[in-house]
Amino acid sequence: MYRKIKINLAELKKFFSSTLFVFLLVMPASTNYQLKDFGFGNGGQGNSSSPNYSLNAITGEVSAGKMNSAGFGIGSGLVFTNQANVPVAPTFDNPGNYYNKLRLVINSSGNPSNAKFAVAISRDNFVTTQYVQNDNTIGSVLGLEDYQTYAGWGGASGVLIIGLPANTNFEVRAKAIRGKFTETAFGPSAAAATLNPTLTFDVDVSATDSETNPPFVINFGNLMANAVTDSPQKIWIDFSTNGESGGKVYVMGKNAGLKSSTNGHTISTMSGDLSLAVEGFGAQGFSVAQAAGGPLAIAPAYDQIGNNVSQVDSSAREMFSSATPIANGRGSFLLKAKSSMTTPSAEDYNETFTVVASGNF
Amino acid sequence: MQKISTVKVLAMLVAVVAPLIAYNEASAANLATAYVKLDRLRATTTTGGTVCARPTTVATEASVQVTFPAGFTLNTTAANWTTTTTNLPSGTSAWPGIGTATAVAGQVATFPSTDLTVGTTYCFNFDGVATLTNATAGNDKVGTITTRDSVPATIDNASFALSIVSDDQIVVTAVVPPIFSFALSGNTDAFTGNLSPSAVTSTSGRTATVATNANNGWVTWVKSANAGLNSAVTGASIATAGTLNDTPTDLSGTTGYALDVDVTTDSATGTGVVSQGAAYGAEYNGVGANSGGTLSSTFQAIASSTGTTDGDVLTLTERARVTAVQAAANDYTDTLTVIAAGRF
Repeated sequence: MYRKIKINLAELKKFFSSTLFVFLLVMPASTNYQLKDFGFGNGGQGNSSSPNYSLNAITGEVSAGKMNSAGFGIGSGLVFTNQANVPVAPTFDNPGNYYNKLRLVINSSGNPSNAKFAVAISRDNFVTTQYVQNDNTIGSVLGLEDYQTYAGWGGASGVLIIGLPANTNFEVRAKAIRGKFTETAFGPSAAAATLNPTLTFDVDVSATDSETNPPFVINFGNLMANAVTDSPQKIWIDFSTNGESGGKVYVMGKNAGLKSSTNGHTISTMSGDLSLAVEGFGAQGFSVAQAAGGPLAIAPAYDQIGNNVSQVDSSAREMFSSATPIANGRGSFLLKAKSSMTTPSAEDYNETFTVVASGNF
Repeated sequence: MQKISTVKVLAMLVAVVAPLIAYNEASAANLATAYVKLDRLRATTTTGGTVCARPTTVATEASVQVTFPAGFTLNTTAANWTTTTTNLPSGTSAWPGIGTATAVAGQVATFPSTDLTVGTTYCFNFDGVATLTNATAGNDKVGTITTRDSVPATIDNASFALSIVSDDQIVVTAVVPPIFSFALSGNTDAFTGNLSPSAVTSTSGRTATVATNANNGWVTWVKSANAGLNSAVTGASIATAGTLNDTPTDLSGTTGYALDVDVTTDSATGTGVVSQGAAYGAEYNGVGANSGGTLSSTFQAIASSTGTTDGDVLTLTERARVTAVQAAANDYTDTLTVIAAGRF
């Protein structure tokens, strides 16, 4: 709803003469604009400006020339004629299941390319209003720098308003300006909501890609001396998160190798080529995939081929990672072991892997 | 014309001028990075973890609160919530001023902090003994990390999510089967010359090689078919010298037939150490070229090892010196049976 205000010149003059507020009184013109349909009534007119602001005072116009409803407004008179087109509701959505940002696409609404737009944002139907800053965060103050052109707001692609709290509904609305005395009121609003942070994780143990249930056991069987033996099953993980910086999957090994309690010997975990080692045990990344986002990547240490492996010990070692949000990430790694002629015989060599994941929000 | 008062005009002007006044309302901002990495993700399991955050607001932090998701159980003894800053994720810094929790209530653990630098990711670990117990299995369990000043007022905060699974561990098992090999370098071993009353004569010697992954090593035994050198032609015999007493017999001072066993190779590969201890080869641990142990028609240990090996080598050499009246013959012979076994 728009409202045009007529100023009583006598009161305005009284104000300027009775307050300490200093304005430079000038004629109604600026370097950029010229009032073309202009006339003085009996009351006269006056303008005021400073380097940043100008006040346009108009007299002699009708005051009843406006109509409005809840959604639309129409006005008459010179000031209203000079205004930019009121922006219609922006496109405002959450295309990436974001928990901390939302996408805003300004509708230029027929305004020329040098028109600038400001965006108000609220989480309580504009009982409390904040403004989208020129760094795409939100703040309580709308500065001149926060008025940006359609291109500045990302054009048709829009921008992501960042730094938003999770699980919160927001409304946005825009106003336009194209030079002095042309700023519109805010247009209609659009709504969108941030989600909560998400993290989905699961572990499977299988020879092929399939979902399995615990307990998870991998039995190498016999480790023949001087031969590299692959684990008959692989360890698979499911990993999805809307974390701004993705997330990581870590692996730890309790014994830092295959340990026999009966003889006290450990086939130690190692990094390197098992083919060249006397004995050893390690892990090797096998596969990565995702439905969207990511990509899920095997950590460089485990991104090996042949009989090259990397160690798994009591430290949490990164096995997979995604630098961005990821949906339905799926990764797998296998284990390789080698014994020697002198690896003490035992039937109880074992290791316990712990696989954990964290989202980076 | 609608008239407005001076006050209203002033309000309008203030509204116009307000943006020129440089101030920013203090309000909580999002942490640029926030995550909690638990050591265990198994449901209803005690765990420690790592907390990381990167502040965005310039302020002086005095504490950090971690609000764990609903369903997690926090031990309310704050003293249990000790912290460390070792083994932190790469690219992160130790959280300054972090220490044992000052308060634990409900889902919130409060830790001390000192001032954080905007743009730096800080982490700390909290102990896993009697602190946090995971919730039941499920995804998207949301908590928050909040940095606070000394008031305490919130400086930055952010939400994080955890996933708890029914089991996060994989047990890997393997069997290393027993390995044992034994080989003789030959099955005949002639004396290098005629046996003499004046000197000890020896065979060329044969080797026995043992390899095994038996954790407790191996033992090698020998038994003699005749306990002496017998001549079928003459019916004469050169009896073995000495007695079985873990002491070799020096044939330079007596006559008879003996077996000397030398440890030629004690392999450096494997854990075993070869020896000839009492009842395990001391009898055959001859010194020099004239001594050896008494042969028996029952198996006698000639050497042993304490652990694994890829090839320990024994050399078996028969030695003899005869009396002047020993019947002449060219068919004196004995048959030694050499066996070995791994001690798994």
